[in-house]
Amino acid sequence: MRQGTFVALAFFSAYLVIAAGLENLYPFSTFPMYSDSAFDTGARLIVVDGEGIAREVTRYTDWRCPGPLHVETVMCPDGREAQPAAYLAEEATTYMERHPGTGEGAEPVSLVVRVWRLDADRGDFTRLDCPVVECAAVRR
Amino acid sequence: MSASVFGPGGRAGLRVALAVVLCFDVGMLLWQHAFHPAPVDPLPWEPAFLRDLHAQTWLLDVLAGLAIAGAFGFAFARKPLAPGLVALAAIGLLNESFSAYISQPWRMFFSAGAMLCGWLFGLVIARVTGADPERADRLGEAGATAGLAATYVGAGIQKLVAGGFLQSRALRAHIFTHHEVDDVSPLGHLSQLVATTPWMAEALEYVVVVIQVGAILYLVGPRLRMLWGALLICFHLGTLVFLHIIYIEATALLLAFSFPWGRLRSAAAPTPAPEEPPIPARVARGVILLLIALALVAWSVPTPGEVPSRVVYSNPAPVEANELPARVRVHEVESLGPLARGQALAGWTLRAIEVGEREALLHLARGEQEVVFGLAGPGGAVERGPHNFRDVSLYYRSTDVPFAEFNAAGNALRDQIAAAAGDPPGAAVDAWIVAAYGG
Repeated sequence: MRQGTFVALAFFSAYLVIAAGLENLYPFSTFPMYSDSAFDTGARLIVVDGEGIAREVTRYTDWRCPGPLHVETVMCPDGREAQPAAYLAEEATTYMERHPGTGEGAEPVSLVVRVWRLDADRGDFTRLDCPVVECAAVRR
Repeated sequence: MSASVFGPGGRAGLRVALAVVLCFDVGMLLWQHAFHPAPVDPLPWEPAFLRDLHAQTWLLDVLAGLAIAGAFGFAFARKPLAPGLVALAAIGLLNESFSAYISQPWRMFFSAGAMLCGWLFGLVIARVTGADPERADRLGEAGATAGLAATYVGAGIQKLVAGGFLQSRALRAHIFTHHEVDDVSPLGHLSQLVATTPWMAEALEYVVVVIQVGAILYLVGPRLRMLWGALLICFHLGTLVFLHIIYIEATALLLAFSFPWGRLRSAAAPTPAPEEPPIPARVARGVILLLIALALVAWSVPTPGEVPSRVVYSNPAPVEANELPARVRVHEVESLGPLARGQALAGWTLRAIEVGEREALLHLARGEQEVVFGLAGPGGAVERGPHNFRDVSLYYRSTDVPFAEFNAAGNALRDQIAAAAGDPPGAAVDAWIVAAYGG
């Protein structure tokens, strides 16, 4: 076997076997993201304005909300809970904390977790807005 | 046969490209260490020094300096092996300490690390076989591209083995979750179309798996390298369009390593790389034995922070609960805290209680039906479940039984545990598990 071929095959095989043993240790990983669960729900932390239009949190600034934000798990109108992707929710709430406001010139907005429950059989989905808190913010 | 697209000569340009990406990774890691908020509920992490490292700013700066100096030496030194090893170790520590800080693996920078590791492997073979610097570079390239291909093939194998991704719902759920809700651009409309069209989403999922598993063809020949390099770049562009996730480093490395950039400036016909000499049998045997030994070590030692990642979706859809770690001893017990084998719970029977090092599995049965709940305090897995309370995780594993049929049993379990555990309940749950496991 040629040296280049040997190097490629040996390291390729070794990486896969070692990664399977270590799971995650730089620079070895099995990269299991998006593979270990059968997801059937999408959920995203967003803003709904007074006219019912949905926008991203970052479309607003000068945020003013009552109390600390708890967005890890919220209760939905259908009586079931919903959780946005943790790191995305964290990014959104961090943005809000870094863009505080006094309420001056702000419009009332609803912070919600929008949930899409996907139906396996019909290929359909149900969309729900699960309320988090009522805030005030200025549209950018 | 070499799969390289670069012909004869050294690969100094590729070393520089890899070093630039490594330095970018170092900068990003320092930025993350400085500005990333700590998790609200940090998970236990071993060894603890990795978490402590985050607070030692001067030490992080030293590691970053070593990493950059190592990358610089790897790119430009006549003997790149030693500086490359320094860079690999320093970036590895920076990366793992950040993982410990945020309580979850951080894989964004693994592509460049895998390629550096592969390149260094090639250099070791070159040194053992007495290769000149140019051939050493070509062996380095062979190892680096093998490392890059392995990251994709590994990801593809995971999707095939787990099976969760190959359902039309998976990609749609990811698009809904990741794509901006008010994106009215053509790409936003395209994403909405895929998210609302199951057959289209399912087709894309299969395409992703084919591209990832097929990345082994990246190692077969120059034409397939260019083809698969282009497909992998398309895959990254797809994740950017649909999920707003960008893998800059991997995309840049694919661009650098997959296409014969030097030839674009020249009309000359491509010159094939010189034939590599065969690997000496004794070297091959020695290297294979060494790699087998490394693999055995990898399979037998615990990985730093070997804690399950947090589930971020579902409820009350069944959580694919983490299995009790395979290397952890598990045994069945008669009782756990207030729970006893055989007791009735809202029409179900607690058929068995299994205890691992940090969590317990509660097997509930009703006729032919069975549902398994995982139970853990803050010392164990943090899983989302509709029956979680306070700092206690009580989640059910995937089951064919409709949620409504065992919800009451889950509530009964939760109420009994809450009544016996006190406040806060997590510490008591951990103590029950530790006591039962120790026994």
